[in-house]
Amino acid sequence: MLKLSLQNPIRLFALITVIALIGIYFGFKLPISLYPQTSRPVVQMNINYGGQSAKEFIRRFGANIEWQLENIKNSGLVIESVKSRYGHNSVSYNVSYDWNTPFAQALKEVQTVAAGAKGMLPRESADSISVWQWNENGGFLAISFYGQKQTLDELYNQLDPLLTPELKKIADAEEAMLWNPESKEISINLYPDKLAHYGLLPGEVFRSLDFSLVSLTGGEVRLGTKSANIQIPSLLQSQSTIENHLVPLKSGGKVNLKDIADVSIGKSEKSSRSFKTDGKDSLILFANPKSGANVKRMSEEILEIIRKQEKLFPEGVAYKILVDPSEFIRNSISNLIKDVILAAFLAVVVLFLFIGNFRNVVTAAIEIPLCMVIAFIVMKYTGMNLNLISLGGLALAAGMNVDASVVVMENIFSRQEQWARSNPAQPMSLDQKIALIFSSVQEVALPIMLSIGTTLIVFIPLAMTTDLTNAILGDLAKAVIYSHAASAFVALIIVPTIRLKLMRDTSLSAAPLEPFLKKVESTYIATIQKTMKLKKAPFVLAPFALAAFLAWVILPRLPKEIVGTPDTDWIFISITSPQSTSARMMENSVQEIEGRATKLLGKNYTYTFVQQHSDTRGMVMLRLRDKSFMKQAVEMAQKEFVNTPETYFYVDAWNPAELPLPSMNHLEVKLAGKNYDEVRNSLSRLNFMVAEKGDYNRLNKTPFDPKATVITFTPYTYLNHQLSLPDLLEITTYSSYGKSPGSLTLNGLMTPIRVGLADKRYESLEALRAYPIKSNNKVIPLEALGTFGQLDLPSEIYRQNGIEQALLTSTLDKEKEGNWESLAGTYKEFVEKNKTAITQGKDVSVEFVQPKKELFEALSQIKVSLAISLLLVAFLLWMQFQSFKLVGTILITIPLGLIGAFTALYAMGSTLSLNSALGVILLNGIAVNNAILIVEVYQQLLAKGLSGETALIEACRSRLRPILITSLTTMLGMLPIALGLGDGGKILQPLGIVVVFGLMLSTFLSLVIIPVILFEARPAALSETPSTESMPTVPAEGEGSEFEDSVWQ
Amino acid sequence: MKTTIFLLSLLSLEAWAAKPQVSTQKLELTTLKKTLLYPAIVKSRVESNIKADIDMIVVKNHVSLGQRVKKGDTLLELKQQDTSLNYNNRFIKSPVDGIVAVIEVTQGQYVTRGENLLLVNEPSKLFLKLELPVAHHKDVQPGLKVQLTPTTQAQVTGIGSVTDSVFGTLPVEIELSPDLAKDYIAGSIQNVEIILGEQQNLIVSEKALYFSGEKIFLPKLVNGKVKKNEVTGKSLSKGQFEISSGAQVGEEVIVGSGEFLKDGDEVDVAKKL
Repeated sequence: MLKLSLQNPIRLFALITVIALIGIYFGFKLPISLYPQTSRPVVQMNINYGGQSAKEFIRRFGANIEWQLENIKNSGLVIESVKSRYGHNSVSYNVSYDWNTPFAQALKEVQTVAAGAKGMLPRESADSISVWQWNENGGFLAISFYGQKQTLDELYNQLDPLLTPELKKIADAEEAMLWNPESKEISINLYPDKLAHYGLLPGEVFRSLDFSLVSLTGGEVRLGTKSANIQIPSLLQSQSTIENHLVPLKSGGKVNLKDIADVSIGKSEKSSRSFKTDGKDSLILFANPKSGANVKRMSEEILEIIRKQEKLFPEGVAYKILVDPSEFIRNSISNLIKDVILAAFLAVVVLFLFIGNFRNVVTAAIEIPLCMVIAFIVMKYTGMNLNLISLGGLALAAGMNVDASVVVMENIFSRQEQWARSNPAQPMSLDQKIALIFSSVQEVALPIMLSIGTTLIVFIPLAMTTDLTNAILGDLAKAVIYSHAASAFVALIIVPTIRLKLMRDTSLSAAPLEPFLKKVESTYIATIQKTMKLKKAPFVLAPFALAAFLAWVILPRLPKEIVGTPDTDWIFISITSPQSTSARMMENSVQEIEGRATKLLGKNYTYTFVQQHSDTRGMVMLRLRDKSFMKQAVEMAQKEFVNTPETYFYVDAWNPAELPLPSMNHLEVKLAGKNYDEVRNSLSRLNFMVAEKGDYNRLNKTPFDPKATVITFTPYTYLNHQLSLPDLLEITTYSSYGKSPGSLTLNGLMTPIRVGLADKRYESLEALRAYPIKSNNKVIPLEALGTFGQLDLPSEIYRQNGIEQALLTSTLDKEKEGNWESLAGTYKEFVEKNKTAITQGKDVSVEFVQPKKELFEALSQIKVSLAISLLLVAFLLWMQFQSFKLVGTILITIPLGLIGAFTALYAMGSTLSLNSALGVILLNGIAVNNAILIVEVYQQLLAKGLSGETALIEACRSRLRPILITSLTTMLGMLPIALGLGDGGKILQPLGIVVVFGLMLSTFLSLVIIPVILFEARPAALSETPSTESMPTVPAEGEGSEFEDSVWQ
Repeated sequence: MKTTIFLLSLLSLEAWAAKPQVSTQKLELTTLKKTLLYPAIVKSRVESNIKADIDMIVVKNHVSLGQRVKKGDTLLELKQQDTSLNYNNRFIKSPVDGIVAVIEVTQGQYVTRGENLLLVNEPSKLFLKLELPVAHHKDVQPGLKVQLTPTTQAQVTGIGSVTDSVFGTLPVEIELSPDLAKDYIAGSIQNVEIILGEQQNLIVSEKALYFSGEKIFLPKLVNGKVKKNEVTGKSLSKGQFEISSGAQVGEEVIVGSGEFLKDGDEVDVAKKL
């Protein structure tokens, strides 16, 4: 193929141009997301079961629903687990699928089960079913709006018509809406004494409202030749129609609702949420992308809408962009481009310094963009998307890709130099040029293919990993494979063809570093000559021994994580005040803390964003001016905000751009048994004992409720009275959280209606017993109509895969996180030893679950991949060289690389993560390349009959420059990644460190050690004439040649 | 070097790490009232519900709503429908002293036999009537105090001796003095608390307690350090816990803290309740 292209370069250039254009086009068309999918698809279904106990709901419906969810797998999908949390009055089912399940299908299956469940549940429960899915990897956009002059409702009414219609048009958004945290409800609070006066029960009032809310269809009537539907709209259209609603009495009369209840429209009881930006009440615009959509485009389109509509905003209305995934992606893309340009620039500089001919240099550098566009084409066809991980892979490969071209260019150049020396002042004909290029390429083709092959083959085991490992590394590995594989084609076909075009003359041009290089070369040869005859054994054993020793000493000391976290500028202080009894009280508390925080940080923050979640929980967030100040800011805030008896704090950095990973507990203990009370008691004892030991400060019990008391009310059914039993039963419902007959459209908004009791006293058991009911002209307490009982039934139940369980989990504080493995070991023993104390001898099983299971499995898979990749490299080398000795010699470069890698990871305070493990895999593939170059040429020279010493010296001398060039370009190309510069830099930093410093040490040591091991004291087979005789020749002018003088002259 | 820096930073963490802040309370005997809470209806001792004894037509209403009348005052004038019978108009007179509480009829209205015409009662002579479930009949005697509002009290004046066959309740009456009666309206319903007795107990907030299975622990402050003792007792309403054993009067106990307290932890008392 090379011959063809050399003969007819125009065809090739046309092809390259087309490929480049297609590649660039696809590059723009690839979907962009923040991250690849790094968590299992999880779908949640919530059902409110109202007045039933958890146990009863499970018996009647819950077990069946769980069975249906677990059996979704019959449709071909794989369910990892179904976790059910039955709380006081609602259940949440958490369905976790296998890794590769498409999100849309995962959601659909649960929705099908939900639709089926709706049919069998009582009406309130059926109406309350909700199914949702949260895709963390998509990223999300959040913007807060606030005004100086208007209330939040006014602001919402002003902005909603400007923004919502436009937001609905965003194709990439799953959900994009402007949200008013102040949700309203219509509260109808009944007065029990007035109800009793009229002989009414709350249920009777509820039914009359329920009926009046319905819009009826009144049938059809004929209008001329057409028929028209008759509609009877709901009687309740506004607050005043509700107040004047007539409730029928048993005596035949009617009473206005306002005479027996207080009707008001206000903030719903359940919602005490609020958001404030710099102290001003705010609306939130929230958008998250559809599965597989382009989050960058979604964010940019929404921001464009806001910018366009901004001029129509009322005066004084402003907004702050809280989270913008496109910004992070933009920064990362520009980082990538900078890294690529830097890699190309450094490659050009290194080449220029070593080779000196500018045209050569530029030709080699073309490799980088060409490989990238070819990679885009393959990525498009394999359905990949551009995300921070795959972009990182492309940046990583940039430095490596240029190596092949460098070797080819360098060889062409040195052959050209040789020819020029032998034929001074003689121009080269086209045929001669073509022949020179062809033979130069032929000479290095095999070593190049082998080098690229070994680099790529190490990734094959990664393709066989599953779950988390594949999720995180898959995209990176594929990006590297596609672009690096392309580099063979580019280096062996395209680059020489371009070189031919640029080959104007054969004049020598000295490299700028030529004198220095010559000195290095001569020093190196002198060193080889001294060392090559030394004893081999120490040089073979020392690298392995040292690498093993460092692995044993350093690896356990390195902190372990799945993947690094990028820097962020958001700091948050979470506030919990369990004693707060109202939203107002919490608001004051949060405001005070905001004041303290802003004073503490002074000029170091730009604005604040405050959230209030409920009466007892809130959060203060501050955006720092400078990300590098984060660590200091967190320390200062942790010192300032210390837990008090009334308020608990938690301070940390918040990174919306962090790679979302499956949640990882540092401690997890599972308890199960037939008697759930005993299981819960064991959980309580276990929690107490672990808390007493003191290492885990964030213990979570599932179920949480330590005491489970359920009050039952059983009416006397034998009583001969006219009161409705269901209505009697329901009194307790109205006294606690009320009941909703439906919603009303008020001012254009669907506003729910809630019917409850006005007198909050009826929330206590004593007051409930005294609920007044009028009958036979007497006022009877509810207590006389039935029995109130107290049962120790579990009011909260946790089930996994149909089995009732209890869980104790915890994460560790940052200071102790590094120690998680040894702590887990200690606590495992502790739990084993104290099993009897925990269970009190009852039939309860206690299982200590491997903490951070996913990480553990991921690291195990990586270890297996590493072992397999080494075997594959060895196998490939054996196929080429057919000699165990030569394969072993080449493989010595691997421990040399590991020595550099481990030392650098420790010295730079980096981590043992999936990326550093990938770095080791990659390093193994690259480090052997240098040795391959030397060994291959050495074998060739030996075959030509040179003596062992001459062949070795010549092989080392001739390969020194290409080895130095390729190693330097790879190292310098990856240096920005190793330094963790720019947004997202921390994610790939461990990988960069391993490759750069591993390669550095491996290169310099193997240049000395490989010759020692290779050397064989063999006599020459022919007379010792170096270079010219043993090198391929270029045909002289006029000699038979198949190449024509054509357009090139 | 790195290890040294790591150790130093750990030490410095220890140095400035504040002691947990807690709030404490000295245990004292609290008076708890044992009560029964029931709804009661306000009734008048003097109440006359005047009904029609035959079919008539209302000719004239001689009183207005709220008017004070004496026994024998004319309230209503009615006539028989069949004028051929030529009877004289009937005059309904008030059987009691009181006020006109309810007027059910209007001039010209035809009323049938047994229909309500007016209600006359004495608003200054009121009492409360409640229905007591028979299970408590031994607990309640005449003379027991009754808490009407946080500041007003009355007494049980009478208990019935025949149980209602439908509801299984006994009627109980609570007399209202003329002073108290001013604040009540006949026919209204409200909850009253019958005070059965008083008890002195050691009470503590449930939030102060630590649970381990079925065991309950109360953290005490001993020489500035935490010491958890096992206690027994029962939960009362409103998040209170009555201690029956394991704690003494005068002991300082920790009722609030920001974190889990281990035995031996040194604490800072932020608040004494």
